[in-house]
Amino acid sequence: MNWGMKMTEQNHLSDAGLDALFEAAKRDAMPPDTALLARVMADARQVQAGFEAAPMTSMTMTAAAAAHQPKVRSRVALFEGLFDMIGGWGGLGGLATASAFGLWLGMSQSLGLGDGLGLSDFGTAANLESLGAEYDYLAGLGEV
Amino acid sequence: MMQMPLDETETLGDEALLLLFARGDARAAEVLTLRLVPVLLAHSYRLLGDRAEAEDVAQEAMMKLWRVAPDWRQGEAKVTTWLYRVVANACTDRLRKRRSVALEAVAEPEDGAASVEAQLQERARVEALQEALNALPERQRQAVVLRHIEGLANPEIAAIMDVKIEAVESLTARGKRALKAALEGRKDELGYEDD
Repeated sequence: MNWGMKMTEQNHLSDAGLDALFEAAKRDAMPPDTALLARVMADARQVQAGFEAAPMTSMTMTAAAAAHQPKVRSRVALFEGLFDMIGGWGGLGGLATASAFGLWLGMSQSLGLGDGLGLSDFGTAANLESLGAEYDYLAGLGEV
Repeated sequence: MMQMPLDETETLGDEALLLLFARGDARAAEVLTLRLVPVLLAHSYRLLGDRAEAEDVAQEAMMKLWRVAPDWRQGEAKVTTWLYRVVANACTDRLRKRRSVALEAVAEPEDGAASVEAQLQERARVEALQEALNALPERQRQAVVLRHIEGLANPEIAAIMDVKIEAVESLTARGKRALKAALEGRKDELGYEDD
């Protein structure tokens, strides 16, 4: 079989030939088996259990406090803390723009912003502008 | 008051997930595991040439990530950059403990659309490259793998290897030259043709 790779005049493998080998290596992804994934997850659970039992840093104290709240409230506290840690909306720059927008929309729905602001959907410019202060959020993200 | 949609976890970046993990979120651990373990396993294998050892290194690296999570400083380094460094250090330790590198036995090709002959040829190419990689000096091997197989940019590789970008360029160039020379004698099994 010929893979279309050439030898150079010096009888060395060409750059293209070597690149073809690199591509073959990339395709040879060697996915982890379930046993390895299970071991890693077991480690994660063990370490997380230690967070709850160990003397707490400021971060884990907040986490522990949140853990004692009802589930929904806990998630709110988690995400608020996350927001603070990454510097608010401005810190979201690392997220892909589309996912940031999707995330915002998801949060808006959860918060019932649509009801309160008369926004059942975001399909029109008028609706977007009627967001008022929330419009500034989107503008800050470069979404509108 | 903000609430995070339950199905958004997978869209978050590694650092955000690590923060959630530190706060007890089991789903964040699962997403990070599924996202990062394949990367670490593949990279470890390319540095070590041994599947069992690569699995151990990947698990150890993830354990270090779990443990460092509460103290992770957001924005200082990419999680993957940090993990590549952990893996590299672990592989270095293991390589120093053994005199010679033994290749893992050639695995049987998996079933798929490609023909058996093509699968065997593909396997031969991957094995040949891995053997040539194993013969490279350790730093050259690491630089070549990160650049040409993992596909990282030179600045990130420099951060992982704690060297200047110029050093990365030199390491990868020398590594590639050595690979080409080493693979020269295997043209038959790799399907090369002479000009």
